[in-house]
Amino acid sequence: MTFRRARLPALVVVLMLAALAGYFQFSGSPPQSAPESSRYGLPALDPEMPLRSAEPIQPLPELPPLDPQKVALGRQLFHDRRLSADNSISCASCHDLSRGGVDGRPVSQGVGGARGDVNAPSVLTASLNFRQFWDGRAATLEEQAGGPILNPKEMAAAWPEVIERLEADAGMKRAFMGVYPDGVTPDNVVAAIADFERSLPRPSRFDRWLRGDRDALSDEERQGYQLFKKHGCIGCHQGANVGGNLFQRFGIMSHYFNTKNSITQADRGRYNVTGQEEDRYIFKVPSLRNVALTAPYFHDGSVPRLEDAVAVMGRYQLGINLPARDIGLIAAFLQSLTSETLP
Amino acid sequence: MTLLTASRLWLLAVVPLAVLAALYHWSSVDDDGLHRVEVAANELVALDIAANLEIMKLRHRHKLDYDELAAAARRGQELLDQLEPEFARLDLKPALEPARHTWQEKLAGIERFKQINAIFSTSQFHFINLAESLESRKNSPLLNRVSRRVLAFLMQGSSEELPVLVSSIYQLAGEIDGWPEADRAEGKLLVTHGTLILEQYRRAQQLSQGLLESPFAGTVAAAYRTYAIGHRKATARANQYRQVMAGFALLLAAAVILAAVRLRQSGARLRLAARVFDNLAEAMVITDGSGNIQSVNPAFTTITGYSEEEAQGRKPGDLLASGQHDPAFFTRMWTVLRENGQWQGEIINRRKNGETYTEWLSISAMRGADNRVVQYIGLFSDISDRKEAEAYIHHLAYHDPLTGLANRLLFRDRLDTALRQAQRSNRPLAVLMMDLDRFKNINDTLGHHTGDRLLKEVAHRLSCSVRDCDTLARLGGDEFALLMPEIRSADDAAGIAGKLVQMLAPEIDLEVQEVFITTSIGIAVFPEHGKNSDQLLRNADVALYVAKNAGRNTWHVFDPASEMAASDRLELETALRHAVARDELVLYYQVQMDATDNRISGVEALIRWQHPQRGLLAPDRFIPLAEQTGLIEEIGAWCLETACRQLARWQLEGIPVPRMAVNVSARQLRAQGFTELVMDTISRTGIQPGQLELELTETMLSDDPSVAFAIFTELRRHGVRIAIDDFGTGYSSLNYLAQFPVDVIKIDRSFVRNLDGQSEASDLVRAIILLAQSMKMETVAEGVEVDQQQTALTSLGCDHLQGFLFAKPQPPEAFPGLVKHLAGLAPAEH
Repeated sequence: MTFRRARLPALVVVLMLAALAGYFQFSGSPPQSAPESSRYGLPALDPEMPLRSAEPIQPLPELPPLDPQKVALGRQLFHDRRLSADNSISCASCHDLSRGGVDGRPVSQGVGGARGDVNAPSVLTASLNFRQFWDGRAATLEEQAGGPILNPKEMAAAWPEVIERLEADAGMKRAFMGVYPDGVTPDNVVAAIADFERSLPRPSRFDRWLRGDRDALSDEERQGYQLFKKHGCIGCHQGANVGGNLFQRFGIMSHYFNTKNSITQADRGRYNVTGQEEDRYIFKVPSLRNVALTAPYFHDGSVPRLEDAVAVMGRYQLGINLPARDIGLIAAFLQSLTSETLP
Repeated sequence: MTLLTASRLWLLAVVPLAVLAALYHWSSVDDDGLHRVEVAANELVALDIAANLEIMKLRHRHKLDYDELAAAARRGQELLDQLEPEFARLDLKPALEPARHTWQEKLAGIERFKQINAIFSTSQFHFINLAESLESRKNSPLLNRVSRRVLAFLMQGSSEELPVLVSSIYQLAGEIDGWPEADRAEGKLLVTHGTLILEQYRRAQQLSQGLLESPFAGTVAAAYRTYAIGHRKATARANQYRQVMAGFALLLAAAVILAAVRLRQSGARLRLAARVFDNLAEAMVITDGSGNIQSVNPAFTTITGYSEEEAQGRKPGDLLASGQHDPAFFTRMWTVLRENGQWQGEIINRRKNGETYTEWLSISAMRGADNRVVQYIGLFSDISDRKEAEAYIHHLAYHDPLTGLANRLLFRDRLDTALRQAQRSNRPLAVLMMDLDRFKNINDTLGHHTGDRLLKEVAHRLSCSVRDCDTLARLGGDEFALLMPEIRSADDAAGIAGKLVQMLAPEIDLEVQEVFITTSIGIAVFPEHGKNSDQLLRNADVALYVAKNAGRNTWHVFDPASEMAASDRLELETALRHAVARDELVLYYQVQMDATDNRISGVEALIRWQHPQRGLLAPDRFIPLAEQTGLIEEIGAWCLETACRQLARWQLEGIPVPRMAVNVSARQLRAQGFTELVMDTISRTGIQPGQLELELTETMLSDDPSVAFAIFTELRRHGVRIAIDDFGTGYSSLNYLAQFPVDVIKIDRSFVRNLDGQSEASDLVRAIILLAQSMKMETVAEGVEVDQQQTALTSLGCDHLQGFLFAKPQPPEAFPGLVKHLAGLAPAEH
């Protein structure tokens, strides 16, 4: 293609296109098979074949270009207990990378045995979420990382003491100066942790299948995926992170919180952020990547088994009592979303 | 001296360098600012278009994941955050405020849209699949009707249908409760999703519409223009410096170097950008200010078939026009483009190979600093796939699933279109209404399944004898209709009608049995028999009625003379308008007797018109007219008021009348605030709600069940009794009626007339009474005239009797005497 007149407006137009393509990678593959005909003699709306040709779940994107030194510093900070008030816990205490990026408890335990408000979400693909925390109150990983450090029920620290401790460690100070000209600052601490978190996502067998390796999934897992789409789970759990890109009500088809004995502040969900009544009981749809590793489930950690969590979702979000066989197959599919390697 | 010279030389070298540096500083920094703002602003506008495109795709299930919409939202925030310091530098922060504000609104809208759309889209998907799966297994006309109405609603989304839809879904829920276990779960889910669709539809629609119409892009453009003006002022200041320094010969060299540097930079940027442009999956076309194509990307070539060389220099409208839009469409498009700088919409274009396709097109006008359009950018994607899906839903909504013919909705639509054309072309068109003779017998004796097969065969035969341009529809049950546009005269239609009658003559083999079916046809022709669709349909119906009465298996063309002479009607109408004011209406009262002890159990108020010339008129002479003209509301309110007042007076006078029954017309019932009117009248006249009984006809229930249902429930909650008049004459099944909250059933006089204890009529009356008893409803027999009927009704267990045997309707002044007379007949109290 040729541009005869390289005038500014033309340039701007082209830059605009560059921006466009930056966020929109359209998939242009043709439909995989022709849907069969319905009894009305028209193409059937086949549940296995959404109107769009590509799958509604996208493979894990490539990791962004990151500075390895910042990532290494972030990893160190992520495991550093000096970020808590009494030097007792680190980020990794609740987001154990070897356990799916969670702690396995219904709600996390903070400094001095304090009980947190919600179930710790996995950190493994947090970088793909559109916002952070169950109620989405943080827009970025950086904004999120500072939260637990200061939260009295979690690490209960204050920035001046944290910075002081880190500055006192000559090695740490050097590491900071090496990548951040202004040295040890709260902004740089969270920036390094955030960059480390951006380096964590690892592909699963399902990603291989999405990219064309038809043998990456067993028959059961494939059936489970079809059921996942047919029953409508896909309505919210879609995209590259299999969720994590929108807010949704917990209890669409029937009221979930009526079944609870007492409703906590955390149960109000996004209402706590916006103060709008229509946001009550609305949460960020969690990612299902590595979900098999992150029991117990839901924001309150109330359900220990994956199969039971699937059943609860079926009942309250889709209005159906899923047959046991379907639950088993869907759980099998969810297993295939576990990363094949640990970060 | 040498020292001086050396220092001068040094100065000579330093000063131009300083000048260069200053120049570079003043010009280049500012220029970069403008450039950055321009890039970011343009990117924001493009982002807005792209986000809107995503919203459209998600809304139509063209796409199921929200990643890109979420990414666009995040990027938009980043860009606005980048713009803020730029604006702050020129002290122009307030100019950016509207853009930030509209962005926040749009962002909140996007979050809500994602949430609602995920629910709506999933429910829509489930609803269509469940409806199709259930329809293939269950033979339920209600299910078919409800699912098609919901789908039609999705297509058209007219919100006044909502209440009716909701109530028909509740009705379906009632039916589903009686289904076998295996289907019930699916049925209930269908109802739940249907309800969700109705609840969320308007919300989803409003949200996506609101987002598409967001003024965000406009506020960004305005902010940019303000910035550009501010920048021009700053540049003007810089230029003054430049002029002062113009004497410096080095200035030229500096400018040359500067230009060279810039040129090289832009070349690099251009190459990078071109690569992105080439890889975009959406087709992109860039034209100059007068609409001539400058460049296109490969996706454009893939979709349209035209290469860049073929496209360059031509106008997109000439290249791709399909001829499917009228010039007004494009005029509108250009008006919007000129006014808003942006246009989005669906457009049908033609590929190089001649095939037409539908695209979703966004056009943005790019304006230069002088506000003149320098370029148009069109971004489009081929949405033919989505249109296919829409066509499918459209088909479901507009066709009768049994016969595949058009349904009532489509028929009305086509009729309206044809009428508009006929008005333009001045050519007549015909509407044929058809009704199979005695179809109900076949359905009842051979079963629905056989009835369905018969209807299919009839549909097949009828469709063989119509022209391509005609529309054959099944309006429901055994009712068919044919629309014949562009005929020469009524004779054409009559010819076809004759042919249709003949087509049905050969016997139909239904496997179980061979049957003969005939049809009666009524014909109305535009413009002689009606100027609009309502008139035409009504008159075709009248003609059909005449054909039926003429012995069936024939056709009849509407004959205006057979209707009441227009002038006579007009005269009556005018007189009726004054009747209320002139006190010409009167109520007569007929007693209802308790069948067991011959006491007065109630009174029915019956309206009469004391016409100054024509004498006392019975309601059948003027109530239909009152219904058509709307006067019925006033007359109905008058009846209610007068009857209640009369009852109160009798009570005051010690005349024992326990209850007053008042007739209510369909139109009255549908009028706003009917319940309030009734309750208000009751409290004003001082009677008890339980003393008032409202009589409604059976047909009113089938016409508008949801409205009737809601009003009945409300009135009964207040204690008012509801009676169904002329029971047994309508088409509704007993079970259907049983769903309504009703207290009293009035058995029609036609059944009572033939009561002799043995005939079929006795069986029917017995069935009605048994049904009423099982539903805890009371029964009133109308038209009791002889002792034999009284005996029969009493032995069958009828609760109340009404008729000439006891008393004719009486004017109010004669009533006290009648009561005394009847009391004398009643057994003495023990």
